[in-house]
Amino acid sequence: MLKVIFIYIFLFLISSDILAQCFSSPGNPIGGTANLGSVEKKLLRISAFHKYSLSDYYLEGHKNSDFILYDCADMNFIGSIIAYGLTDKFTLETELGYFINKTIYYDKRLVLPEYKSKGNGFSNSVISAKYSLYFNPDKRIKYTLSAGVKIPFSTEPQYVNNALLPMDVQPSTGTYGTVIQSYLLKENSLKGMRYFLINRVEINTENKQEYQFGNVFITSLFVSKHLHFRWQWLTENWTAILQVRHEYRTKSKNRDIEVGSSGSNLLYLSPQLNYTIKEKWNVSVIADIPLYQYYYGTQLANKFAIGFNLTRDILFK
Amino acid sequence: MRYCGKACAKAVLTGLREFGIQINLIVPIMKKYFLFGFLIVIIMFACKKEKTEEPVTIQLNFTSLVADNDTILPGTTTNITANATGEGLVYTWTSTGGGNIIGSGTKISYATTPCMYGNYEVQCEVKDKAGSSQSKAITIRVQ
Repeated sequence: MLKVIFIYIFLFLISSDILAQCFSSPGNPIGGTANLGSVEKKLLRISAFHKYSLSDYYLEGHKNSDFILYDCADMNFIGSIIAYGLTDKFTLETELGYFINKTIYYDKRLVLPEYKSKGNGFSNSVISAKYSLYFNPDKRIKYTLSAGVKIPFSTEPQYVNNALLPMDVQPSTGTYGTVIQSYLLKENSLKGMRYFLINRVEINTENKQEYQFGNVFITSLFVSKHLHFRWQWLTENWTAILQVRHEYRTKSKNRDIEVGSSGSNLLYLSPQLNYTIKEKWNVSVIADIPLYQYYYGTQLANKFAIGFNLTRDILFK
Repeated sequence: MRYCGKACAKAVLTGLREFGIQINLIVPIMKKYFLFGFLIVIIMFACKKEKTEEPVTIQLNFTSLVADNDTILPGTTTNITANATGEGLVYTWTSTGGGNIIGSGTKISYATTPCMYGNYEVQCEVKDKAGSSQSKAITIRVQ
């Protein structure tokens, strides 16, 4: 049962991390590697997901801005995550992502040669090692640490029609980075509730264009509950999860000078519904709703995001 | 003289007869060689380069890179135009330090974001079909 809940949360985290991206403080979706840390020995976990995100208004600090440049921006991202438990405590994980599109649409009130800039292609990949530091089966507590390296698909920036794409729509950060995560799980079997606290830090380095994306600090609190209603035949395979996530991004730097309109302080609410098919497949739908957004300078703010996940666990004996 | 004439004629006829036999043998070979030689002559003429006039190539000359406004406010845009002559020109635009390049070809718009202050450089490289290239950069001041 615990395993199934892990999968639920895993799916949820994948989604929320992908959606953590906004166009005003770009780069790539943050990881997707944030699952619950270690998986059991000889367990192969494969996940595929798709995300759509839309941003369509400017914020200056936390107030609306009348600035016009982008009318809106959206992106479609697909990715996969593969994790394998080398031992019961030690897990290796890889992530690969691809932007189907990462597009900004310029405001038609401006007189411009074109009204769209679109990038696509492979994002960064992440390879991480996770180690379960503490597990108390009586108290149902587990704590896991993870360290990984972010590897860009390409260190060269993308051009379209021989014009350099804006940083906002580059599919890859074009540079290496470090990802540190911790996972704390507490389970209450009597109530059928689980609580998760997850921290993630992402350190970015400078790319060839001498641009350094800001570092990212994320704290997520999850509450999950297996659904039990009167009509058990209807609800037995369903799990509801609610996440509150805080994201803090430091300002990006360009040639060692801080980029004025970069960096943010965001709070999201992310409800998710999960369905298990024959205890083998997990299908999940998630929404990302901004509760509070504060952007340094003036930046395009995220309106909403939705996602779909599919995960399968395979245990090798 | 008459005797000489007769003797000469006889000798010639004998010689011809003998020679005739040789001719009979040689004629097919000669025919072959003649045809072969004829073909060579035709090919030589056919392959002979005709004198043509050299095409006039226009040398790449990147004359100017001009902005409508080289000093702009944060969050505004300016057009930048590259003027160049040459054949099969390809324009590659790059900016360093931030800002968006919008469009392609000879004319683009350079858009700055809010809170973007300072000097920013936009480069244009022009390459012709022969592979020659020239670059120019322009500094846009945002204040």
